[in-house]
Amino acid sequence: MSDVHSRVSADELSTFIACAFESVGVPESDAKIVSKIMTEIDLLGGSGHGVFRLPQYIRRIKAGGMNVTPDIQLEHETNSTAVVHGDNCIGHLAVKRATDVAIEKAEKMGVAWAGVKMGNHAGTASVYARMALPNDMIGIYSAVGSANHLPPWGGLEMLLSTNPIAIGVPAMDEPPVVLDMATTVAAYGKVKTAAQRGEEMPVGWMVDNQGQPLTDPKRSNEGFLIPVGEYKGYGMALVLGLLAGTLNGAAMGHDVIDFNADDESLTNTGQFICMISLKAFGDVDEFKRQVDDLARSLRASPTLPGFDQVRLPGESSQGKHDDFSKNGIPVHPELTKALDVLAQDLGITSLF
Amino acid sequence: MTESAESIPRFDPDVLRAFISRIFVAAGIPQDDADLVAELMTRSDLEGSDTHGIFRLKMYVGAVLAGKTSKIPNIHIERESGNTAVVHGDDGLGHLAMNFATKLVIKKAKENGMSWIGIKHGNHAGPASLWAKMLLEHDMIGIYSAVAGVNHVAPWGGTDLLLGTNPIAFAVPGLEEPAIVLDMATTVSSAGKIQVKAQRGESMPEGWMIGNDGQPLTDSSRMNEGSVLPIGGPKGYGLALMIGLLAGTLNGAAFGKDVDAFTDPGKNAPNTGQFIAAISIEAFGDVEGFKRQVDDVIRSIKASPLMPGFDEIRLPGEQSNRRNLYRVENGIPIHDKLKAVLNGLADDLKVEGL
Repeated sequence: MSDVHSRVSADELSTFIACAFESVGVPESDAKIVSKIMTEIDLLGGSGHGVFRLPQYIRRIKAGGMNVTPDIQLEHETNSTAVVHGDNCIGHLAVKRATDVAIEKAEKMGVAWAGVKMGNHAGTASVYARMALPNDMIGIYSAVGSANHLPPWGGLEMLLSTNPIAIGVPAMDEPPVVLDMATTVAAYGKVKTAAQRGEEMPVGWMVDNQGQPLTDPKRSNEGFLIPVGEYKGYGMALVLGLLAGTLNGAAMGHDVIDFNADDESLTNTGQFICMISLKAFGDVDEFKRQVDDLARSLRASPTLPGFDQVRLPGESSQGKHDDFSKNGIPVHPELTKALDVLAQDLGITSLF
Repeated sequence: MTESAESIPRFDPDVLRAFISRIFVAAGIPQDDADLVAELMTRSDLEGSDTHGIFRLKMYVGAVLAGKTSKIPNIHIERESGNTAVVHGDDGLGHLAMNFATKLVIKKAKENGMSWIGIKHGNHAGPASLWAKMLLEHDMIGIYSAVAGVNHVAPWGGTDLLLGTNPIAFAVPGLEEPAIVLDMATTVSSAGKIQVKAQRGESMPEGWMIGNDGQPLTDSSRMNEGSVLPIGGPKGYGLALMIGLLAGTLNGAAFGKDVDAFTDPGKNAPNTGQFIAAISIEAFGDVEGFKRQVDDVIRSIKASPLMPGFDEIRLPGEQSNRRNLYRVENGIPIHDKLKAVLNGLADDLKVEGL
């Protein structure tokens, strides 16, 4: 891997991202917040959602599709809830604000829930759920995905997104348990990789518009991703969309703009974050010890043929974070090229 | 299969309610509690949760008579903050602790915008949707989850049965359209469905279970020789794990290797954990506006062109809603086998049968 990927330190990457944003008019303090979160996403191995998205974000800002000087406000507020109006800001800013508000309220009340409206794509789900961990909280995050890839189960019209959900739970000596999943069996990224490699997809990833298994990844635009558990995953995508979108007055269903194809239209992306303070439910250390126990008992399970170990959600991300913090974040050669082009366009120092 | 095509004897809900109540009273449960649990169990049957209503009566009563379930529990708040609480169910009937927790979650969500209540030392409390739906009439979104009473699921890639099919339910109100009520196990099939297949001598489709050899397990009589498969493989495993942490570990309830099979007599009380969360819609904006948007989403989904092989698109909760309408009118179907079990129970307790 290391011979094809260049590695960059987290600090270098973060500085580069911040420079790029500042060069298109984003205030320094905002550029810093966003670049820190995007770098954290790359450190955790969420490679399709970190710096990979930078050219797209910059393109949208230049096209006037994202507001660089937003007035982010709390539109509704109670003891334990808030709706953050993002004013079409860079998505990370509104979600970070919602996360801070939720942590503050959960500290006082026990649990808090903050929704976002008028936001934008904000990176991976787990990066926000993980913000709970240093506060001795459990974090739950979901978002309306930035393009509809999913028809309702039994239908043909793409009315839903693969709305992701992330849940982060702190442990004591073990790594935190952090689930981050889309509501489909396979992500589009995996389909694209299979196409690149000329491999067949397993039955169960996609169906064609006749409802038959689709296994040729080159024909992926003729079919649909299959939700986890079929109608169950459809139900989850729907409910998460209502919670992350509709409840906050954000787009959901046919209102969702394809963020990848359209740089200009207002997306009104919605997200929510829920924070649960451990101390409201019992002794914090005792809880974390229990999580350790559970993690160890799962890992100690005998394995099925073909598996070398039982993993816990978030374990491989944590491993990457440890590796990349020490040895640098690998950047794919194609991405390096794209970032070089971006740096030239913006007149900033290139990453390598 | 449409319900009207079934030729199973049907019973008036009032008759079932009275029957369940007199069984509980004969087993030593106070009249008010017996009436409440009977009402909730009958509601589960009306809504089509056939394996979570009166079907469970014998098991519940067995646990009461064995002293595993407390007849007069001291259900109380063990810990409380502004909008959270841990309710200690004192090993009483599961519905009683959940009923207590649901009242509390409604009160706290009204005052604070949202609330989250965990339960410890509870028991099996019927279908997940029963509780999530209770928040609808308060203009709240309900979320409920529970640690399943038996571990049928191995962690992804492993063979130790350390997890349950841990269900989760969400209820979201519409305005003119029926509420969206998702109630799902985190496994492809519920354990109950497999037990029904085993009883009928039918095989399972591939994808429901996996044997310890890693091969598909389709012989339903060999259910205890493998793991029930989670939805989406590692994803469903992750969900079952997270639900267990939230509904179990967080509240000091059993999860993982501590989960005792509550169907197994002679063991201690299972210390079942649940949680219920309520989100008050008015904290987020105009309630009617929200419900209208939900209607819009429902209608646009219903209007989608169909995939070949489907005759309609269903919303989560639609089927149980239809069942309920039909059963209120025509009664609740009770198989003869189940009826015999129930009447046997009545004989044992010396009360009038069904």
